Amino acid sequence: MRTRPAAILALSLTVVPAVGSAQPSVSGMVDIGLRGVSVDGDEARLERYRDLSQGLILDSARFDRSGERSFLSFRTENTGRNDGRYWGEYLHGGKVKLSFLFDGIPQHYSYTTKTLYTEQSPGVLRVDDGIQKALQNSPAGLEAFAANGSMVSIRSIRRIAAVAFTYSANRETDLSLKVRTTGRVGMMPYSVTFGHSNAVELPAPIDTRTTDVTAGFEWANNRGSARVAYDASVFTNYVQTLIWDNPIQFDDISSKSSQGRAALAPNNTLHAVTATGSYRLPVRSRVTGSVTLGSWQQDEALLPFTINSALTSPALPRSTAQAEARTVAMNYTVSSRPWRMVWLNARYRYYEFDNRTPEFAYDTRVRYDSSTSGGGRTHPLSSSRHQFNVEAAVTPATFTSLRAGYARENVDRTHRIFETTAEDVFRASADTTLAGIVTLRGSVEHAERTGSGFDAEALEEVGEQPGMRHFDIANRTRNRLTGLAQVAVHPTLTLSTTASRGNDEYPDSEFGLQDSDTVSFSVGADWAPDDRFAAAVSFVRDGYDTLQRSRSSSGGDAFEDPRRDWTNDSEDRTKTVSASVDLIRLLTNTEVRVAYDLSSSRSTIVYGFPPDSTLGTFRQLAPLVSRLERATADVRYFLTEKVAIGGLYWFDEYKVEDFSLGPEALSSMQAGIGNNLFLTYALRPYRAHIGSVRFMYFW
Amino acid sequence: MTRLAEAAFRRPVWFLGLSVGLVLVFSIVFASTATRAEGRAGDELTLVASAVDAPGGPGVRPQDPAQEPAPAPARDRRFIGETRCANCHEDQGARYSGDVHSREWDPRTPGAENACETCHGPARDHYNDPEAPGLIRHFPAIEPEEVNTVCANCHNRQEHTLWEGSAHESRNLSCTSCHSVHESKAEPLLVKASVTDTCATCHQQNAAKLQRSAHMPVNEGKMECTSCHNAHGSTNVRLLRVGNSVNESCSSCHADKRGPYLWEHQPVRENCATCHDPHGSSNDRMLVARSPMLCQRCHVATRHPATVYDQTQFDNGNIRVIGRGCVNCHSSIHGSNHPAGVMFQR
Repeated sequence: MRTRPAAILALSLTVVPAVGSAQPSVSGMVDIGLRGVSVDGDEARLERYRDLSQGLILDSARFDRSGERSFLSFRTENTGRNDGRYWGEYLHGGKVKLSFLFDGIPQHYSYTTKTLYTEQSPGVLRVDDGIQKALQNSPAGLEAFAANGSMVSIRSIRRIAAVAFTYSANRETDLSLKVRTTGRVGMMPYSVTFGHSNAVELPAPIDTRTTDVTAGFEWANNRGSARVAYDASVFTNYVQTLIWDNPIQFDDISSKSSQGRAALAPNNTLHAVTATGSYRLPVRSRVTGSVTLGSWQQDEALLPFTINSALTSPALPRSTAQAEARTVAMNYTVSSRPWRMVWLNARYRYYEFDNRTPEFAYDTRVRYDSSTSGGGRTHPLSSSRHQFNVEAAVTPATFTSLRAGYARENVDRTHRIFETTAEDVFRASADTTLAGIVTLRGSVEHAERTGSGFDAEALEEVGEQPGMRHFDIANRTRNRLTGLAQVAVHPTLTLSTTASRGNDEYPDSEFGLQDSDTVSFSVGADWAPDDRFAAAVSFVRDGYDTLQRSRSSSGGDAFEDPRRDWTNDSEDRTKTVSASVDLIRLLTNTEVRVAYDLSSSRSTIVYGFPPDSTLGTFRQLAPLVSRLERATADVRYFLTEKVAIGGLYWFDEYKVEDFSLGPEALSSMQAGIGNNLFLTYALRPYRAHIGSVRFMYFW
Repeated sequence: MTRLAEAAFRRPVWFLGLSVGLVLVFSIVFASTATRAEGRAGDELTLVASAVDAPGGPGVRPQDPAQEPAPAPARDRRFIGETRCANCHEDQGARYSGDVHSREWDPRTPGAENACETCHGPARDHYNDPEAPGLIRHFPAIEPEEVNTVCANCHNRQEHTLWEGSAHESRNLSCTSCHSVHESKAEPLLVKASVTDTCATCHQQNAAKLQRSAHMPVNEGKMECTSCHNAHGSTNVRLLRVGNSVNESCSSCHADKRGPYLWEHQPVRENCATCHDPHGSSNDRMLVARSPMLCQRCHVATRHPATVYDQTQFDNGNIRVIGRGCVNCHSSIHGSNHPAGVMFQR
């Protein structure tokens, strides 16, 4: 995808600041223009992470100044818009490096969503009292009110500011400081419920800031290195509580609340100290070690169990979360080439997540602010992961390597169905380049994961089938095979192909994921006969198949009745095509760049039942289709060596068929509105034509 | 297994912490001692240059620096200077002069040392007999390990520290597999027009996922492969740049998901990639499968988790499946800080 070819090339190819020369020099460019956009369909989806507003655009600009002992650079992209990026650096005398970045990343969800809610104060969303009163005894009218909701654009933006400073005290020693702060404001679709037949989708507010600081000391030469660093990350959420009205209930009663209250992401902090060292040993060997000690903390005040005034909120066992985790991460690597043909590597990796949050136990809780339920307790998950890996490679010829490796991973966990899992991984690979013409790479991997210390009560406690095995830790047999071939049929023409196949089987899982298969195949070609012409094309086909098993029951005898079993057989197929042609002054003073990208996927989900099924008949699901297609043509004509004019045309189209989120789901949302209220946020298709005329000046 | 080793494996914090402390002290003390012993003339750049003239001729892998004799001082008669190099290699000279490597005022660049000959080795013999093979280090023709050794003489810190033993080194890749000083097409001296194109040379499947409808803002120019990965090696899995686990990497940007929470969703706490494919997906929110089927991979308990949600349920707008499916109600699925958040509904 090359929607910014001019900027990329301008930045990469025209930067010739003549830094080696003693004389100061200045270079730069500016690219300005006018843009027009025509969109038929979901404009927000088109703009997903962009600002494609029309009118005057300052697409990119660059200024570089090379002094006798310094270098200054400043660059911008999408200047003045929400997705604008500004960055620069200043280097002086090999001693000082100072850089900054300011970047905006919008995220557009929808411009056409509707809501009955208005934000009374940050995090407090209200529905007009008259609507609540009118619907309290006749909720069927909700659909009519919803149709007259206010239009609301749901979007957010991240604004990132970062500064980095490095002082090189001498040839070996650096002191560095980095500060990065990211603010995110806006809204996101967020659904909450008063029970499974009374959910509402809200434009939930986002107002957060994450500030990261890294301070480091590093010493290095070609024999060894040492680094000590301190990292701190502080996340602040200025809206930690979401309160919203129940559109169909005005008065609090014990079985239904007039409003709900949820906890959004809590403030939290992370502190970590890292020490890393490496040293070159005799016989071409190096040992590297790294230790990180981390502390994660979150101690926000806990909300009461309910906001429903008709219910007595049970006493909180404690007033704040008191959530805390300590992490320990260690890596030790020894790498050696004792002989010219032999490469050996051993690595030990340890990661511990020690969750020290005290258990939170209670006798009574309130569900959905609408009813009380029995007691329970939290399950603060801890885990520790040991991974040991050894590899050996031989290099029988200069550009050939044969590698074999073994890895063992042991993971201990709390509050999961297996106390420990152990995985043995065997892998081998071969890589060779023959006469600089043919490159072949291949690898195989076989892994066996086994769990021990099975905790049947963990499943029983949540009413789960005893034969369920959570696939992320279940016993698993994994096989992977990948291959790559590149052939330089001519110094200017390279053909390539890749293929991979993978299979995960869960032999001891009666329910849940049974197996998954991945298949991928690609072909590509690059042709660049000279600096004036370059062309590339690639085609990738991906397949992802899974089978999962379940049993439909509401308890009792049905819970153990295999005639109520069903399977879900899923197939995803995706084709990706990318092509580009660059004609750089093949025509007089003219640069032409054309690119095309297509991603087309089709998924099917097929339910299966045993021959003696008692579940009745079901309608199979419609296929899912997602097709994203883009084409760009960028033309520049150089009037003089320093002045160019040009135009950019960009076609963009998105097609989607999706039974839960696609256009067809909109009517379903309306049909099923009942006591539920949707924003009608969905995946909608669009077709867009974007054009711009541009003026570029280089100096 | 010895008792000491067993103890270390069970509770290795103190044991291994002590080890890395020793490694740090060892690194600084011994490496700085060695540097002082060699003096300025023994710096790493000169060591590289001397390797070309080592017995066996150029292209022969360098000996362990610790075992090498003290090299000749820089600027000796074996060196001819960049001007003479550029007389014949005009294009390369032009690209070099516009490159960071040529900054004479930065003592960490070749420009501050012997310019072209810092990396390619002393060129006197090659200058006198240009047609004779093997008198100069020609990178496309030498072993990957030698290429890496030359580059690592300067690029031995920050994100390059962990190259040795890394996944890419183990596959016999060299710096010049991805970078080219003289024929780069994009920053930082990449052989392809972008970071993504460079990575896609081998990782075509992951690069193709970036084109799918649900993706990170890579195509929009806001991220690139190197935003999350450090191709030169890392302490994390999958060459992830930040942190020491998948979740530490993801939460470095998505700190709102970091917690720890009062109520943890265990698979979420263990690995974001259990449910999300960060390279891209055709499913909303980059999920590896769509809801409710994804959730049903682990939840088949009584009542609604184990229901067959057929087309009729979708057509009727069942709140459990329409829109964003299970998350319509279980909205705090990444973890909840609400005392009633056991089912992640608050």
